[in-house]
Amino acid sequence: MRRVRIGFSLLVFLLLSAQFLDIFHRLPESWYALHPTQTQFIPSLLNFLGGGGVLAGAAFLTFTVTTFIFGRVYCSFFCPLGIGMDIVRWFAKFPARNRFLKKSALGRYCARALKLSWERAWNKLRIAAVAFAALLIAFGFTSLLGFLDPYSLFGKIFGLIVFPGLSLANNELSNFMIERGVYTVTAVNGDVRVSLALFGLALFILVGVSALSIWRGRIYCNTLCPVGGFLGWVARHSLFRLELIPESCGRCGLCERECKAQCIDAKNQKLDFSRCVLCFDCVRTCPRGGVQYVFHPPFASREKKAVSAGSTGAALSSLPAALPEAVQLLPGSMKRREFVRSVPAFAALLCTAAKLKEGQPLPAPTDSDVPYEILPDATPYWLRGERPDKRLTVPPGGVDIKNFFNKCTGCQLCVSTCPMQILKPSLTEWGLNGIMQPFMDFTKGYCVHECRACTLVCPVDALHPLSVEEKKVEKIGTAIFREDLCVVKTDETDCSACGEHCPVTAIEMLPYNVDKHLYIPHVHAEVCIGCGACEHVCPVLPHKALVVQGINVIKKAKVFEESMRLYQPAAAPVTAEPPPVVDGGDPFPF
Amino acid sequence: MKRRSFIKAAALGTAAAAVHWDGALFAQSDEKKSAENSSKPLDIVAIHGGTAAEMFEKGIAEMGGMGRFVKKGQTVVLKPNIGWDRTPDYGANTDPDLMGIVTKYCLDAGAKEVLCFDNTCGNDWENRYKVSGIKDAVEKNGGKMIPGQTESLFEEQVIPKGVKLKKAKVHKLVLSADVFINMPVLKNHSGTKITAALKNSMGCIWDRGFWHSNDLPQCIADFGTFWKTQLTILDAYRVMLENGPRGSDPKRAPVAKYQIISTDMVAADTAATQIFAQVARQHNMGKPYTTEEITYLALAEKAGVGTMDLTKLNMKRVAMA
Repeated sequence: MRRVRIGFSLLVFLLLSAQFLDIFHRLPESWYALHPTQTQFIPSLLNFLGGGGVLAGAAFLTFTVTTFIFGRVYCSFFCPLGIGMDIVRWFAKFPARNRFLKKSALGRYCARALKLSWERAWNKLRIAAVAFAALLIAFGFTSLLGFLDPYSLFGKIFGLIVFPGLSLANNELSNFMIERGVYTVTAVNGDVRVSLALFGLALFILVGVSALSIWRGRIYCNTLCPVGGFLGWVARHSLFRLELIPESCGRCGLCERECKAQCIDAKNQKLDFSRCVLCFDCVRTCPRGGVQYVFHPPFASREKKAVSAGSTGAALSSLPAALPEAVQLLPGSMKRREFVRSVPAFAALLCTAAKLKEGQPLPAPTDSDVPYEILPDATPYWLRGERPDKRLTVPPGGVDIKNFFNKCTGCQLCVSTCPMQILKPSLTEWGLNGIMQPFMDFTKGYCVHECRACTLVCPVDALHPLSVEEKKVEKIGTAIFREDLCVVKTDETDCSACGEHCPVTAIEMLPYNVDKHLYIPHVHAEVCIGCGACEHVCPVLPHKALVVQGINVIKKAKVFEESMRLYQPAAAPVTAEPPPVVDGGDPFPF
Repeated sequence: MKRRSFIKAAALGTAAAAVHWDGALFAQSDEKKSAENSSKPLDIVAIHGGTAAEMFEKGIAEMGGMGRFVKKGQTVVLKPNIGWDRTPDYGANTDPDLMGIVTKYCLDAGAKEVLCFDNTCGNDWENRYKVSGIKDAVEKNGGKMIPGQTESLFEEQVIPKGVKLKKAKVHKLVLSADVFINMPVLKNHSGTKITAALKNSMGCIWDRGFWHSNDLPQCIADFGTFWKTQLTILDAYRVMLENGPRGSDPKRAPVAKYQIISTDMVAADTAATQIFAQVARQHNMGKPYTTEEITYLALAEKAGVGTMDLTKLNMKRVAMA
């Protein structure tokens, strides 16, 4: 069973990492449709609560049910962070296991330092984590939830460290080879770098999680992890539970030392199944088959269960100590009551914060005589140092700004997937609450017209999947043109970089100076989709002549029609009939 | 070192071309305005009436065969226009069949390798190489696609004759090629009205933004003084008449069946402008621009890149049945 667990979990880990390791963006779209992130608990729960239906909630429902039957299947088989922690531990244990290093000081140190033993459960923390997560979901603080949810933490580590690291390493290799005339390794698309602060944050998560796992195994899973907390509560009532069988158990403690959840108390022959992550290490370790699944019929009262447990076991006297903390937390416990009472207060706090976040006033700074044009539906998020009428855009498929904020956990999957690498995690760009949620950075590139990769990969439906046709008219913003900045006016030279890049013909070049053959852009706002191509290529610095102003609610853009054209080039030339191309006639005009 | 070898090779190539010329074939076809002087090699051939590949085969034979430009063991670099993620029917990129056959001809002429690149308009360059069909066509015929969007591949160069453009980061292949073949596509352009041979240079440099903000036509002409191309094969099989350079609709890029093969970029662009105007009139679409409106032509001529006066050149017009 342990071997099956290891093989299976490594496979899951690899599948979940694939998207983050795909630095060349070569995974086919069909991969996205069957994306392994659909097996993740919190994304699936968010999807389910967001009205995604039973199918969207399949993982959440399945894991709840299977946990009720067998225990926390998710934690060792499907949770990428949990699997990652196991991998870290495996590597940390290497010196203690290796034939040559075993006897060395390092080997002995590792063996000693990594030995685990029974610890009491920190149930208050667990309940608090679950309650906190529930409140975060209820009030739409999913970006913060993303710092508790194991999948999102895993995504942050991979999206902000592994993906850029791998890409940059590849680019170095590519440069090295190209200098020697070998072109087999190509550099990756776009600018993969992320802000140093976010990289540091991700590094902190990586180091923190690794340290926790080396220090006390799955301590994170049984304290801060809301999934572990919730499934642990379900596992307490599981039909089948792993238990130490007193008949065969010799209280030798081998299993206790192996248990990374620190939930086995060999001395008292107790196994706290609510904390068990189902790694089956104990089952394999016990030479006498002393750890086994025991069936507990449902709906048996707590007392009865205690008796039945007692009848199978010998040490009835050890029960009070061995029964999980739950007993101490039964109704009547003062601390629990206090905790329950603190929940509404906390909820009120979050509620206030939520109100604050939605009611942000529009800042309207101005440094020009000409007032900046702020369209009525513009998002309130602007960037320091940029033109004041530049506003952040919700990525395509985001439906509206609230939907996006209230669903995205900042797992960085879309950020890694974006072939243009223009989706960047926000530090404060989306406000304090939007940390790690992606924004579109048009300084790095622009949103490719036919690309919809980010909408397909999003595990929480914060970005709703779009068809290519839908994507082509997905209006996420409007380009705002300022003539006083444009080189056609300031320098009286040709440019038209914007008109050249516009994928939807929203930019029409109108005659500006006929003698000098100069044309100046005009934006058809209802046709513009806000892809940022014009902003990206506009050569004017520091403030671009064209910037994208994001809108709160994503719309469908109009398709350009010839009738919209403001300037018809001097109607068809006078030649009444076009010179026919007669066979044998002279086709050359010179 | 690279530069020196390049110059040496170029000089050798020219000398060899002159020597080899006598034995070249002259296909007899309908010629006119007999500026053509059959004792001298042709400077420019305009072809009409076939597929892009057919016209090339006919035209290069008129020019004296690929052997006139490509010698054994040389590295040939093809610079098509792969600016946009558009399929060939939009006429936004150079015709892939043409790319394929030119690759083949170069290798048949003894080229050591045929390399092809473009600094595409958008950083999904791999996708654009693919969608345009050019990657497939070039690789199938034995050529190699080289990334055109990796900054480390570009080297800072001084443009001695530049008026506005004094320095530019230039793709290494531009500097290292023995034979550089410019393979533009003729199409409408929202900024410069028409883009063809001279403007195709924008895919050889890193910072296009500088050009756009510093008098684009002058920069195009400036770079022409620096850019050494041995041959220009200008694809006008489809001519995008409107909404260029990206193109909105394949219907706006009618099949016109033209091609120009020239050693002079300015002449090729001048002829191409006239072809554009004629096709625009025929289809009653787009604007029939005059050569004066394409401001970079006169600027390039002034800078000595080439000539706008087609009568000065040894030219041949080939109409295929």
